[in-house]
Amino acid sequence: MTEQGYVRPDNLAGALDALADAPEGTRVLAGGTDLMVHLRAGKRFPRLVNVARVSELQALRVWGGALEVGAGVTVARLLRDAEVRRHAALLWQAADRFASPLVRSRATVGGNLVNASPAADLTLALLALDARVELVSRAGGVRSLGVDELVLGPGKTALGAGELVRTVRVPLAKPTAFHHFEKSGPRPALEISVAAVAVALRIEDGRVVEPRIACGAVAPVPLRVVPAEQVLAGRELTPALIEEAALAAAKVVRPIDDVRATALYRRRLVAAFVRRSLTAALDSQRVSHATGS
Amino acid sequence: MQPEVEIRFTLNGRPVRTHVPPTMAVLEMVRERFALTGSKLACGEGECGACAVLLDGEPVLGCLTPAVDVDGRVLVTVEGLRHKADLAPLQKAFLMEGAVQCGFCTPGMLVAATALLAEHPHPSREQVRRGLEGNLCRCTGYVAIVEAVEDAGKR
Repeated sequence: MTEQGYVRPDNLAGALDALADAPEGTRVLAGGTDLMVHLRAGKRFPRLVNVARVSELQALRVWGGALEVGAGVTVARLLRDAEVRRHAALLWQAADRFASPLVRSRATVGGNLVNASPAADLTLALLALDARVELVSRAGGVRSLGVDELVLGPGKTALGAGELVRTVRVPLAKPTAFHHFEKSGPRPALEISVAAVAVALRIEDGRVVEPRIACGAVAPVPLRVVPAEQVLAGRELTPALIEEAALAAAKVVRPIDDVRATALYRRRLVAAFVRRSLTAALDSQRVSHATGS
Repeated sequence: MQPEVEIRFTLNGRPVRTHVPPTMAVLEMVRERFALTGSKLACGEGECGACAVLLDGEPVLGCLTPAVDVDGRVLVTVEGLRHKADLAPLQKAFLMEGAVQCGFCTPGMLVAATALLAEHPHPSREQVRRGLEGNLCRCTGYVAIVEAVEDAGKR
């Protein structure tokens, strides 16, 4: 690798300069938990832009009605942050189930998004939370995409030449919100999800409002199962309705057979996880009625 | 050849400086530049935790953390866990419980457990198990390891 091949900018402007004239195949290095594995295996990139020193990617605050999360924020930092837990419980739960403490201390929100793994846990939560991803470049300024517009396929994103993920904006959860994250893998820690489900909804006047159900590792991209959401929208949550939604979700996903699990098993996991999440929502409602809150 | 980058940081309590290729990992730096061979290379993919070190007090994977990222920061390897001439209470607990079999995972276990005890000085068994989730012991001596960490939390 030449001198041009490894750049360590001090700030965002420097990072955007390094990306603006970057050769094809250039990668941004943040925590290194994914890229360093490839480097150790002998893979080389025409240019690596190490953004560890770019302070503009480290924002983590409530701002303008949203939780603003810098692309360089680590999973461990999300877990330590009371605002994340309060305003985006789903993201917090996904962070809590993420890999291991040793990985959480380095892996970043931006890295999880742009690696575009079908099994990415944070990405799944951000999808269910209707998060917006802000991309910046030297030439094009700022643009904002939904998670489903950013992540296009395994390892494939809508990032244009010279673009960097700067910030993710997560709408603040309303007091009526219910969030639930479920995942399964072969080992409690460090599991690449065999299947994962992230649910965000509100219950207002006894009815489900704006339900979002996102499924991971069961399609080429983290997938919202819209037919299952439509089953729930505007209806009263009952065991029969939960069953209907669980079956609808299992029907829409497009899992594959691979070394980790069969497609059939993944489909059943999706149904079970949706059922479990919605049952927890129903239980939380009963608890809040019982306590009069 | 990659041009090397100069970095300065605190290593096990002492200010140091060295030159590293930008793609070098912390693990190779501490082993090759500073002859600190406690941190082990096992999987090299972040699965096993045998290379764990503390960066500004946080447990990180030595094999996947770029050495250049420790510039200006505080790095502690397993060699830096001892209290002056004496072993740390956690290390003594490992001895007392017989929590070492082949020993290859031990440095990483000690580092991960040190971080856990800093966050939860008296951890429950569940907290210990979760704190060591990223560390594999291929002798499968987990019971003694978990007990040693719990024990250290009671001292």
